[in-house]
Order: sequence, then C-alpha cells, then structure tokens
Amino acid sequence: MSTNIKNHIRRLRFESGDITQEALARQCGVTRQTIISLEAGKYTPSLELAFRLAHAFKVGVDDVFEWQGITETDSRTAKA
Amino acid sequence: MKLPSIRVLFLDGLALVLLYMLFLSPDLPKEAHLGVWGNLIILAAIWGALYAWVKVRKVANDTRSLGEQLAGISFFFMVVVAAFFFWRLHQLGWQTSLADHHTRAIGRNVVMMLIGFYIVRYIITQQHRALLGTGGEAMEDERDSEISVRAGAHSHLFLIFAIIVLIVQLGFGGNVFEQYATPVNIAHWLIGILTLSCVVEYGSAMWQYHHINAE
Repeated sequence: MSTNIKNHIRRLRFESGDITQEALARQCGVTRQTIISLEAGKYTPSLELAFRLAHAFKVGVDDVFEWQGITETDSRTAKA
Repeated sequence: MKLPSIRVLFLDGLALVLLYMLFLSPDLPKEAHLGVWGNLIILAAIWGALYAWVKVRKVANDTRSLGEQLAGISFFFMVVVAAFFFWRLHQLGWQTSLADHHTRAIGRNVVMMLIGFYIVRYIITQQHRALLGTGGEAMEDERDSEISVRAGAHSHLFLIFAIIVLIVQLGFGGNVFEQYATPVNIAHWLIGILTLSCVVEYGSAMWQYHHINAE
C-alpha cells in the first residue's frame, strides 16, 4: 500500500510548534494510527482528509503532499 | 499490572453467569458430558480474550486503532467458533433432529460463543470510547472504513464461491452426495459457510492492518 505521494506531515508538525500526532489526529477527526500510517507513507488519504491536514497546518495541500510522478511499476501496469 | 477491583468483580460475575448457563441451565440434557469440551472452549475463549485485553489494553490503545483491535478479537472468536463447529459437525449426523439433545448442546455452545464475542466487543468499544471521550480523538476513520469495505468484499467473494460449490455439488454430486444432502445437513453446511465467511472477513481485515502498519 505504499504510494507515489510523498507527504511532509512530520516536518510540518515540528515546524508548527511540535504538534503531537494525537493533537493532529484530533484536529483532523482521525485516529492517531492513521497519522502514523500517513507519516510512514503507508496510506494515501482521501481528498477531504488531505484538505483537513492542510487546514490544520494553515498551508496549501501542495505544501503537505507532493506527487512523486509515474514510477516504473505504474508504467508497466499502464502498458499492460 | 494491578487490576481495578470493579473490573475483577465484573469478570468474576460474568464467569459465574456463563458457568450457570452452560452447566446448570434447566434445559440441559443428562448427557451433558458431550458439551464439556465445548463449554470449556467457550469459557477459555471469553475469559482469555478479556484477560489478555485487560493486560495489554494500554499498549493496544496506543498502538492499534479500535478497528484493528476489534478485527483481531473478532478473528480470534470466529476461528474458535469455526473450529468448534467443524470439530463437532460429525456429531450432528446426517439425519439430526433439532429436538435432539446433542444437537441442541452443540448449537447452544456456538450461540454462547457468539454472545461472548459480542460481550467482549462491547466492553472493548465502551472502554475505548471512555478513554477517547475526554480527548476528542476519533474512534474510527476513513482508513478503518476502507479496510472494512475491502474485508467485506473478500468475505462476499468467498461466500459466493462457497455457495456455487455447494450448488454444483448438490446438482451434479450424484448418488454419493445425495445421501448426505438432508435438509438439516444442508443447513449445517450453510452455517459452516457463513462462519467461514466471517473468518475470511476478519482475517482479511487483520492482514490489511498488518500490511498497512508494516515498516
């Protein structure tokens, strides 16, 4: 379930005054385990959650998430 | 870890009620020895699940979401129910009457396991709600929902596959199969298929949680 979308949640948490995973989870209405999975790059959030995260950090969605582009695996899948 | 006295009292009370219902209930047949192992399995499963969870609940709440905890507990119980059901399936016989004491004892054990399962689920959910109630953190979110939907789809696929196999066997199994295909026996097979579909659902959820948590 690893994704092509990289996120900067961990960095933003520290830059925003050491927000804990628990506090961020409360702000976004998700469980702390989801924040952990997001930071580990194991889970791709819904568009709504992406906006909630961006709102929590008071930045744009682009500042939180970064698309890594099409990987070699994706290209093979698309061709097949 | 020192257990709070109210929880110990509650667990003791629950065990006593279960013991009464399993061994002293007025409708139990005299040949109750047939159900002893099943009853012990029920008690061991319910008690073990509650005790183990009480022991690890702080760590579990820190590292696992409610959905993941429930998936694990549900998988454990459904495996126990399925194992007991298939272990005892031959005792139900091919021409069993539902009025038969042995059949009812097996049915009661399965039902008691399911009741125990719902009690454990309820206790864990309420405990989790109490812990999170003050913090305002969500109990379940979109990640749990997605996993639940995928697990349900896997269970559905298994159910369709198993029912098709049963239909084909009933239709084309020939004389050898026909002698076993009594109405009551078909009902037992369907119960078995439903139980296994639950095992598949919770097993799939557990696997997905494990996969998403893996480093």
